[in-house]
Amino acid sequence: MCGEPFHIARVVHRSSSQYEPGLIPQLLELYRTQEWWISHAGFLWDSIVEEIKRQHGEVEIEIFGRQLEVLERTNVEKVIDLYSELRAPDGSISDEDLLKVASLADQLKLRPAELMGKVGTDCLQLINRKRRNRRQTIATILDVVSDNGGSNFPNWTSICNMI
Amino acid sequence: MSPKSERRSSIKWEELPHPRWGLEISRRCSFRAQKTAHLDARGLLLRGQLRLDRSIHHEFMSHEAGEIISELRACRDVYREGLIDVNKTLSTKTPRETLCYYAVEYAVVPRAASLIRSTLRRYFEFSDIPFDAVQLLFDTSAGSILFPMSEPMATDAGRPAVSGTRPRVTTVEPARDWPELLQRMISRCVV
Repeated sequence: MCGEPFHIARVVHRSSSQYEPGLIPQLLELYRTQEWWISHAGFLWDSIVEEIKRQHGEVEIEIFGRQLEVLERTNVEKVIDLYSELRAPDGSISDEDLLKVASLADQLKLRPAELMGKVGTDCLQLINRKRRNRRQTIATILDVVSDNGGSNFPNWTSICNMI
Repeated sequence: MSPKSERRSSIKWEELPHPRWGLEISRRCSFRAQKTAHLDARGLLLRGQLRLDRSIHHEFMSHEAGEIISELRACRDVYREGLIDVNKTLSTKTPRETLCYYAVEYAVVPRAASLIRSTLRRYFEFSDIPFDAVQLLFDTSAGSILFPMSEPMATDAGRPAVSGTRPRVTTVEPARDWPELLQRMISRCVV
């Protein structure tokens, strides 16, 4: 985005091949006499350039949104990576390791419902029903794991696959 | 990641259905809401009065700018939607923000240049602006020297170009009419 076709600088900017003595003062004088309509034409130009800039700004916002999305996904991926690393080839995982995964998820400020998708939401509802009598609520991933007795926690594999 | 860096896209611009999308833009712009009828009437009135009253020129231009911006937004929407639909059918996907960038850079910007030119032409004609004055002030390329870019071509097959041929130096002629002058003043690259 550059250039302003009605700007006075465009009038005086001539190549050396066009140069004649007295040309520039003559053009400046002409510019002054025609300025009444030049200002309106310049206004039209400026308005459209502003709109193009605004639309480019919208694209910047789209890019920024995507970068945020990548950042958020990376946090989830960190948790999945740790889970994949700690689980045994048959898919089982020790209580201790599962707590490590949950601690990392909490440390990365992931909320249980966001991390676990639909299966996790069903699980949370189940835990909340159990906790209702104790007047406690689920706040962290660690709560979820602790409340479900570590490796008895249902479907970690399918939960992580759904993320 | 800048969309400018994502130039490798499977979308081929020349193969897109531009006539159909152009028609859709026109359809959206031609549909006038009932509540804006007085603005259309005002636009017609202003156009008719341009030669008589200099005090209305700003309002006329403001009205015209609004019309152009409205069309540019329709263009953005139609191309975004169209590109997203086309992208779904391709095996190699292009990121959404890159499609948005394409819509602005390759559809909206050229259309903006074209709309500015046609609006200015109408403005100059309806306002009786002297062509010679505009040409003298803004046709800055007129009179520039054109240097030949390559050696003269050989006329017979296998025969080298004549080494003693003097390169022909010409100058850019002044624009002959409004379309030519406006094309020089407002080209796609300067918007």
